[in-house]
Amino acid sequence: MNLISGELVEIYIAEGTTMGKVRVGGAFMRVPLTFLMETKVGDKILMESGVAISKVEVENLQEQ
Amino acid sequence: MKYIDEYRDGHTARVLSERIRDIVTRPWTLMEICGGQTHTIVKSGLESLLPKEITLAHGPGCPVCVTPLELIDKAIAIASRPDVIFTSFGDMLRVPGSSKDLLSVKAEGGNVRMVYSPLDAVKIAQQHPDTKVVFFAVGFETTAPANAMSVWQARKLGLKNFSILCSHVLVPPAMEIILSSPSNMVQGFLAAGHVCTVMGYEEYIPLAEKYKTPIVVTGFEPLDILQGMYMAVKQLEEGRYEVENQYSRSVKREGNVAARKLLAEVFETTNRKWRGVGEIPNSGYKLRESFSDFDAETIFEVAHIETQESPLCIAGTVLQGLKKPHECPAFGVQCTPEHPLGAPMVSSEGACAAYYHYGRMHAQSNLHKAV
Repeated sequence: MNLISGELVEIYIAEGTTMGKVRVGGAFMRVPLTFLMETKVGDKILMESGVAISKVEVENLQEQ
Repeated sequence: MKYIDEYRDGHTARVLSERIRDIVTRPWTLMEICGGQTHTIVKSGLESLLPKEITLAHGPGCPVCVTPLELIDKAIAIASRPDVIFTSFGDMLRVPGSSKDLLSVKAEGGNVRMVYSPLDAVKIAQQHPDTKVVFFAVGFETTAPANAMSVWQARKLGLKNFSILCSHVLVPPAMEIILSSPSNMVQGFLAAGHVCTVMGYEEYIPLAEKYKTPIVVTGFEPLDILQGMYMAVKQLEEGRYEVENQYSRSVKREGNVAARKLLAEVFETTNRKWRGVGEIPNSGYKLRESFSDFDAETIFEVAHIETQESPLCIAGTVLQGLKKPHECPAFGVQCTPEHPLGAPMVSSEGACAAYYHYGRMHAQSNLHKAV
């Protein structure tokens, strides 16, 4: 049940739900973006149990 | 890997460690709430980088570990039925119930399936309209949005054969139980960053003020944790008790508003029993009445189940941070990841499993004692 991070590479609609294709290492996951509707391709996101729940602020990361 | 390796850099870890040494003047006990943080601490050997004044207590933040035995036994009873496909996250399958675990049910012919997401269970329900599909919905606030979404989606799809066995737990009430205990030793908390990505950290502010205890929302990489410790120790040394956010790259003060909205629609808070700790008021989620058609506990009538804990396991005191895993006489002897007596030895977030996998010297010293 640990969170997984990845890069959003595609946004599409499937059966009325906004979905994201996410690159995780060398693999891809497809997750609902229901809770992260403001994300865009190229964003780094965190996923839990097959659902995107948080965007990682890369600028903030580089400052830290 | 980008954005991960930066948080595992040894040189920066030593710099942060020196900063903690520079400011610490007296003993302090910090507790990391989340089992994921415990694993990072033990795996990366962070305790060896800390000055002797800092003591770490490992918190109850492993959802698999605190799921009450009654719920495990109820899951086993439901999964044993021939008309059920029982789905669960992988680490719940090996948690011992009173007499067996879910993997044993599978070995005996039960239709038990490991899924990565509750949404996968919804798909299984769509594919098997004549079979009852149950998902074992455990976890903290981080997992709750996916579980809420599964129920919401099942209703939208008109599924009558999907339900969840709900055992959600909430972090802030558990922190309050620890802080209000007469035997409490915790002077500062590293709050679980991933829980706060969903819930934000506003509900920690009254806790920090009431118990005069600093709370630092902290991430999960080694440098996150060292920085969180530095921020907590700095507050303690300066006599402050505030909520600070180390994990600002992922956590906003208000959390994920859309996820919280769905949680409020699907769940309501309830008293929840924590394995090894006891019942904590308002420390869990249950389905709202309007979603009770998806409540497996009601559908399968498993309310009355007798349970029996292992007399050797001290998981309760480990989960409250009162004892370390290797202080258990059964650790590494009668209790191992292959033959666990308690849930903390099973879960990927359990403190006992972390000590076993990354601190083998403790297991060996116990083995020597046993010999």
